[in-house]
Amino acid sequence: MGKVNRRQLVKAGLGLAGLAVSSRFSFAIAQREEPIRIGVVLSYSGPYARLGQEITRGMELYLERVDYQAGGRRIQLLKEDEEADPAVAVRKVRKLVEQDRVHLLAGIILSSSAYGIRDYVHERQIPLVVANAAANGITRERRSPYIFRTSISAWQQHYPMGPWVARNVGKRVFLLALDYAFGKEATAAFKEGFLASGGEPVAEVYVPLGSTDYSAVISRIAAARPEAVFAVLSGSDAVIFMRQFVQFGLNRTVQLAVSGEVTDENVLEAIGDAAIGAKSGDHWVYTLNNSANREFIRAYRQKYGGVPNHFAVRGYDAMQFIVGALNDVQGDVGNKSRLLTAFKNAKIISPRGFVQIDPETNNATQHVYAREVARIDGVLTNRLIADLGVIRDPGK
Amino acid sequence: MALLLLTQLLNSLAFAMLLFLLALGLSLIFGVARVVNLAHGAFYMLGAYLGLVLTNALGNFWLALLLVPLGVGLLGVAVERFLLRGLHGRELEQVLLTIGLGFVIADLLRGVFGAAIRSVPPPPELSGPLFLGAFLYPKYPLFVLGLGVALFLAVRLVLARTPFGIQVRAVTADPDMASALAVPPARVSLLTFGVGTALAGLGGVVGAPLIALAPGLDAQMTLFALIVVVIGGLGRIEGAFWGALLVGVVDGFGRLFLPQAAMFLIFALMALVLALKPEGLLGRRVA
Amino acid sequence: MMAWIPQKALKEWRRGLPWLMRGGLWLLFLAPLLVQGYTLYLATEAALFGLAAVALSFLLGHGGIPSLGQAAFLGLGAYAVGLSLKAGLPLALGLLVAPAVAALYALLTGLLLFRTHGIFVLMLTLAFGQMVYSVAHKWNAVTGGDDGLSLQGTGLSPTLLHLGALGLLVLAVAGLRLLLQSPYGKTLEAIRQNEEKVRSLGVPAFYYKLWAYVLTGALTGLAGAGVALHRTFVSPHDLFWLTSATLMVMVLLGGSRGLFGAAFGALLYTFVQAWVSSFTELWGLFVGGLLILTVLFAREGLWPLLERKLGGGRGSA
Repeated sequence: MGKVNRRQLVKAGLGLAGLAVSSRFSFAIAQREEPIRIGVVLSYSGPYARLGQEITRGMELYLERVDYQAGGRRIQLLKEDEEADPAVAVRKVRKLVEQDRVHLLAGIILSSSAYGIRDYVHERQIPLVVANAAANGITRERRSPYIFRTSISAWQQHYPMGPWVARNVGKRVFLLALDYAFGKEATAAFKEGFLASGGEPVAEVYVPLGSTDYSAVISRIAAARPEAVFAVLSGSDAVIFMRQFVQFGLNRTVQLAVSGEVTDENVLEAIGDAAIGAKSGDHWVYTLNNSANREFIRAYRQKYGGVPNHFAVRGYDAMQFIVGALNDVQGDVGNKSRLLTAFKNAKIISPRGFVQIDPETNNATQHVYAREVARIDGVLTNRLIADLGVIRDPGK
Repeated sequence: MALLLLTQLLNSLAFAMLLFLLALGLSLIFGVARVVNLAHGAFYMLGAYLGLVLTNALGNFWLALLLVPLGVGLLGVAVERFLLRGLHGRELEQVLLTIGLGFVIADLLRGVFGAAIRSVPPPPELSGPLFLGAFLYPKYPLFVLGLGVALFLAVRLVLARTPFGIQVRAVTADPDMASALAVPPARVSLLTFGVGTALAGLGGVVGAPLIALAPGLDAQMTLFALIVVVIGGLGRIEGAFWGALLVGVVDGFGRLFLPQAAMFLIFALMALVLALKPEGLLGRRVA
Repeated sequence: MMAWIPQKALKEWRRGLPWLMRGGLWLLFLAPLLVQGYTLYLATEAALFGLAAVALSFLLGHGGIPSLGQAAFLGLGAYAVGLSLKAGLPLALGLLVAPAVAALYALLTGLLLFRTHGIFVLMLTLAFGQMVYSVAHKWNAVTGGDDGLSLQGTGLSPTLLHLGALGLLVLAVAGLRLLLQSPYGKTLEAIRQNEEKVRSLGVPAFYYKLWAYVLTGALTGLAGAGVALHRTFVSPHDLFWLTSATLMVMVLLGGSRGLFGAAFGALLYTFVQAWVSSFTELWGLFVGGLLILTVLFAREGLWPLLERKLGGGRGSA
């Protein structure tokens, strides 16, 4: 039996290798000029797999719109799995740069991955477009002329919520966040604005990432009797928290004013109608009435079915920035300084409104909105309550 | 404050009973088949996803509660028969095989069901809170609590009174002696593996509405079950029960008062127990 | 099967084969220097994880101590060198501190560990390992928490780093093999085979196992320091128990006895995993399947299997 198995294995291996080679080959033949290769590093496995999938959907949606062309050249995406592990992100970035010779990098889910690859990208002078990682430091003390963030910083997303919650939801608020850099930075930013507007945090609780049970926290909330809960949770943490919040009947007495991550459409799908009425702050809203957003939602629905979410928007916009910059330099990725200047001056009409890169920090300056969970057109999503204005990250 | 503590006690106990379902299976399997089944959390996940599918297809949670453990148990039987039996007596290889199996099951589930987080609503009879005067508590955790205790009593009865139970106890205590007394250890081991994995599957169906369903939960549940079993004593169902209560309460109150250190507390508890009483709180020395 | 080969030549071939294979293995580790770039990066990673795997192989295959907590040593070494550099200490000193810290941790936990046996040791190492992980993950002020710790300005070229890692690996294999030939090593093997009997002869088995554990800890700590310099980055992820499981897979894949198998396993695993994860996100399926197949069909690992096949012997597995 050893022989047959071995032969089959060898065959399968050769087949796979052949597949990999031929797919790369066919691209090269199709285009006389070499395509622009963009290395995409996102988590496709592990706890953030859904985020990676949605960001990729957004990226591909935009690239299809421009027919995978920018600056007169073809665009090729090389996707690698970040595996929710910064060490893997470092390895994959090296692979993309040294083996696949990509011209640009995009993606990055985890802030720790962004920090992990920062020095390498900086030394190698490979432009990186961060499409998700939110740690403030990426465009503050550890910023690099080669690193641009088209998504949003933790501070930007949560600072404007503070005054808004204090004025419109309640002054006595229970603060709850995941115990990692993003949770802490987001809470600190919220508090900054909240305290200045006369808000009064009744408690500040940090819970470990990937908790299976939030009943302890919910008991504390019930005992503290706040007017509202401000929560920074994502993924399964958000789902479990929201479910148990309703199970314990707290939604009858306590309002939710949370990070946009908590009422992301992916999460809402898992929570169900129980989430209706929860308020949040975010940089995109389903009901934003601009043509870019309408076009984005129509295209997303047509291709993937279902309601889009802010991750898909982040992917869509990352590519919109990249394609815009490549058009500016007529596809000449060899001239780094021209390309970087094009990125710095980039402005796009995004589904989230007008977005531009702040040339000082390389972070996207953009609108932040107050939203409320509602059922619209039969799907569970967020509707716009207020525009909190154009927010720029101070960069320090 | 008193209400807070009471609520949290109930929460901890409900979670403890979920851990008990998992730990019971793990413990039985170890006791009889001498296998540390590190794929246990993956069987839990399998049960949870199957429960979700069946509940939606049949529109009935209770039927799923009955059918899913059967299916997962059958898979467990197949795993014992075709993968583990050949490695009899090779503890380390068996552990590694179950690690591999856990990876495979978890990835297949992700391939089929995607990476989205799912949450399963409790059956309508058990959703929403229960009002006891001013005290308000959800019904579902109470159901899990009751189920766990009932199961504990039932399993004790089965082990004490039925022929299968007596065989299980005999093989756990001394496999050589048991086979000398004409107890077929291979068959008992097969059945126990089936029952153990079925319990993990049951845990999945019961646990999904209590917590949620997300990729990565398998490794977490395996770790929890392992800690419970090691603290309580491998191969002892009383150990699994009291171990689960202890871990549930330490975890619950840890989360309440020291949320950042909750996981650390549990591992510290385990290290402490093992350092002082290596065979676990209620364990006997296993040769 | 190979009847047409003269018996004498076959005998010579079989005698020389292990040396040929060992030479071949080191050549495989050296070859990426010619290509540089990403291949070299992976090879350096393989050499460093190889060092940790060889240490585990010594502990598991020869000392009979199953550990699922090696990630703690790796992580302690990595943070030790990272923090030393951050504090402005010279690199050489950091490279001494790393194994020392890991060895100290091994000594402290070992004192508790070896009061138990077998599968309980496995569980305890896991528990201690996860405790270290929790601390590294939570102690933001020192470790940088989830953001990790960046190492700046180590100034080591990839070639130098690779040669250093490979040198350490070769030295570790040679040194540990010598140690196994010594009276200490022979006693350790005897303890693995029958601890009761050795004890009844008045041998303090506890200390034999403890020293093996401390030595393993120091070597793995050194490997961790290397990993930190190599990636110029330390993250608490590396301390999670899956890293320990990965090391176990490497050792088992190559073969837990003889130490060469572990080095081979690390090389094979590193490259295959990197290759597979590039075209499917279900790489866990692949790794899991590989583990199951190895356990079922190549129990003593691929290295001895390869040796037998090349030697023209019939597989006994």
